[in-house]
Amino acid sequence: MSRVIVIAAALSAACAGQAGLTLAQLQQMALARNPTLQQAQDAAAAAAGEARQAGMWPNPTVGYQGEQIRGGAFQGGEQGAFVQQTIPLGGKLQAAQAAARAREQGRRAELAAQRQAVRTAVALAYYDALAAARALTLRGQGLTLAEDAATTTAQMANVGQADQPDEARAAIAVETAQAAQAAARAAVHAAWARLAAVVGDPGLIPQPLAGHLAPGPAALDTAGYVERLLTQSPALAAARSGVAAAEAELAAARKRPIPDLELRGGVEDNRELQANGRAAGAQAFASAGVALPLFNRNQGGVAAAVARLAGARAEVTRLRLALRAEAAPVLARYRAAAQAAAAYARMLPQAERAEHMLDMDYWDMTAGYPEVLAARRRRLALQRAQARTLRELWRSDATLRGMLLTAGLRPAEDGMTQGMR
Amino acid sequence: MQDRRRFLQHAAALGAGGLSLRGQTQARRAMPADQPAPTAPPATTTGPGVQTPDLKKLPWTDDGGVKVFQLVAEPVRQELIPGKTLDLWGFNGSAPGPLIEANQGDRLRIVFDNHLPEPIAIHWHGLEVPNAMDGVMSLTQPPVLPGGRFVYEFTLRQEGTYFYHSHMAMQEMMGLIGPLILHPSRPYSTAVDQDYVIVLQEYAARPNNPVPDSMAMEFNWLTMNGKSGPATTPLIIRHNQRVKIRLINLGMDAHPIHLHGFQFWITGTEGGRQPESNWIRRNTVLVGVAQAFDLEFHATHLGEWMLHCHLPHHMMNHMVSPVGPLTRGTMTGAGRGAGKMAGMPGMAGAAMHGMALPPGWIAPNANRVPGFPQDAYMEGPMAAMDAAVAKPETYGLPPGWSGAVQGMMTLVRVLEPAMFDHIERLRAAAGGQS
Repeated sequence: MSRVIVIAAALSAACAGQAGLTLAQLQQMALARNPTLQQAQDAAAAAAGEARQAGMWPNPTVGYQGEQIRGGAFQGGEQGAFVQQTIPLGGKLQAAQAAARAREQGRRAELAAQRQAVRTAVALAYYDALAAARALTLRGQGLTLAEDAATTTAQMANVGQADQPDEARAAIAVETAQAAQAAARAAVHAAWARLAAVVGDPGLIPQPLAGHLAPGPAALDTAGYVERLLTQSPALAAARSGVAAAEAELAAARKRPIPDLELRGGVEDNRELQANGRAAGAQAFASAGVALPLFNRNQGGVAAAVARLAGARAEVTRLRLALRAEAAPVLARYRAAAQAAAAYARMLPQAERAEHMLDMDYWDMTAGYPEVLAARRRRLALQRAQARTLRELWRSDATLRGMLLTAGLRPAEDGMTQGMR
Repeated sequence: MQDRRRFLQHAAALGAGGLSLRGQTQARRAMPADQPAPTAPPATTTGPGVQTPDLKKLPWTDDGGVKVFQLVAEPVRQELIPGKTLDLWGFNGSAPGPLIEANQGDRLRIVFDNHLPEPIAIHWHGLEVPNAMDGVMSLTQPPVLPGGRFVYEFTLRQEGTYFYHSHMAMQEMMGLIGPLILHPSRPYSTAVDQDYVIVLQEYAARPNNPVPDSMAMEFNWLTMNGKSGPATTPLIIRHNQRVKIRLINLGMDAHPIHLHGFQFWITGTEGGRQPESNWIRRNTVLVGVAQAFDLEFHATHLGEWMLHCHLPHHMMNHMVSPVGPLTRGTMTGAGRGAGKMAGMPGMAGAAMHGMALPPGWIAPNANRVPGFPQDAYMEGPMAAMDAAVAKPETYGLPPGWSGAVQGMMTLVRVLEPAMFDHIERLRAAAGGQS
């Protein structure tokens, strides 16, 4: 419980305008610590290694060779050494390397997308934490208000202006406010835990967050958003890299039937006795050959590559559609939240002015204190609604600016194959 | 006949619009340039002249023996107490309107202009006038349209305390009433030294809206001559003078007006002077709606005596329950005047800012006593505004006096001659009655 209180105090400090961790700082921490980025970097490094390996020539073979090895007139037969080398022909090696490099590019595109996803996920957790802290502050004020109302009701009962049911209602309101405050405190804890996890430091000590929910983010141009998304989406870039890799794989597969040149040569000592009674002596041998692509022309491999290319292209199409589908509700939430936030920005000053006037009236003894409490209650309700709206506005804004990539703790490869989250 | 001819000539001069048998209206928004400038009325009454605390008298001009008054109904801004001004409808700049003072037998011509945004007609309450002059819209006369004019003319057969008012009910509640005092052609047998008239009114106004709700049935601002206590101007009496106070009520409530320290005779009603055999001795008179009473007494007791409506809710301004933080704890920096009125010159709240109530004012266990608080915060130091309402007539009152004078309340100050004379000099220096 003490940790929760510390978290609440720390997050509340942000609302009081104290300096604290900024979103940019948290995002930098996440870019350094988030394991999904390490995974994505490892995958890219592996792909780079594969690309390097794909360009390697086959190693030569050296060995001993002996034939007709027996005694008698043949003496020791023919014995010697050979060197054998396979020469890849037809650009197969380059094609394989190009395919590997294309896969590497795909991994790097996935890494870029994951970096965006982590930044967005941190932003979402940050705004959740800010909103939770704000909600806790307001729930605290609500509890203070309920307690004030209960005291006032008791006073009113003391002068015959309230009845026992009124006092019971006031007591219930206090209990309700206490429960709401406890729930808000738990939400603060959860928000901090989520923020710490997505940053990659679950032991991150609760501390103040810099920034405020109000007045909300700078306006986003939603009119051409989908078109921009379809040209700038990192997920779509990764999918397009997948198409490039599949095309390179197909090219490599088509070159695979081109036979390699097999060269073999050597020298040997021929001990076979000649007519002159002397051994034949040193002699050389050589062979060259290629495999005839009569039966295996890599038909299956080409067919598989063709199918994978079609699949990669379909993935681009699917992702474009998925982006449109995902963007629509987020845009709708953003527009609704922006409109509501603007309305609250207009309404709250009115509510605060009304509350201030009634408060002044009370001290001038021209308005009753229950009117002040009612005005305070209306203002608090507005502020709670405003905080919820601003949270939604910030979240939808961050999601849209993050090109809909929000899963900061899902493996990048999984993300790319599943499309954007 | 001569009077009638002049009346017709005057009416014809008003231009288009014509004159009906019942009167004459005309759409004119400006005062006519050919109107003679009003002059102060000569002192031709048979009494001492009626004093109208916080009100003016309507001047008149003589037109061949006809007293001509220029009466204008218009929106007015009426300050009830410092810091509280209402948007009312009144006559010639105030609500209630100025006193029309005349003598029994006078011929009156009231040139009435309507500067209000809706029709109106003026009723001369209790006067025996020709039916066409009675001021009932659509019954005895056509409506006086916005910007229009109607000329009322009649001879006064009566004497006593009367009043004039719009005959439109809601307009009455916006303030459209004024006193009309007719002095007798022969002096009353018991002459008075001081003669006052006080018009009782009531308004329902929210704390931040200067426009009263004329539809309301409960009222939070109660006035005497357009002022609420402590802004009401005290009545200054020399010891042993005989005093007449004329009370007029036109609102929704009857007001039990009580005078401290004296038994008075009710010598007149809205029906005029009563035979002495009908006089009633009381110290409280219930002034009903649309009624008037004349009270007379000898000011034989020195002191600062209250005159007020005794309805408890009418004895304070904008009464609300003080429960809340005001009544909890030490009261530091709180109280009337600590809010929007803070900083206003003379406001007790501003002066008290940062101060507690006087020691012993609140019992330590007050909040544990059933019934607390009642008046602790609504009257006394919390409500005092001595400096803001200071005027010659308040000279010599004890510090904090204004905290005790609230709502439909004023003071009858019976003073030693020296103090009376001093205050009279102060009044003269200030330009006459407040």
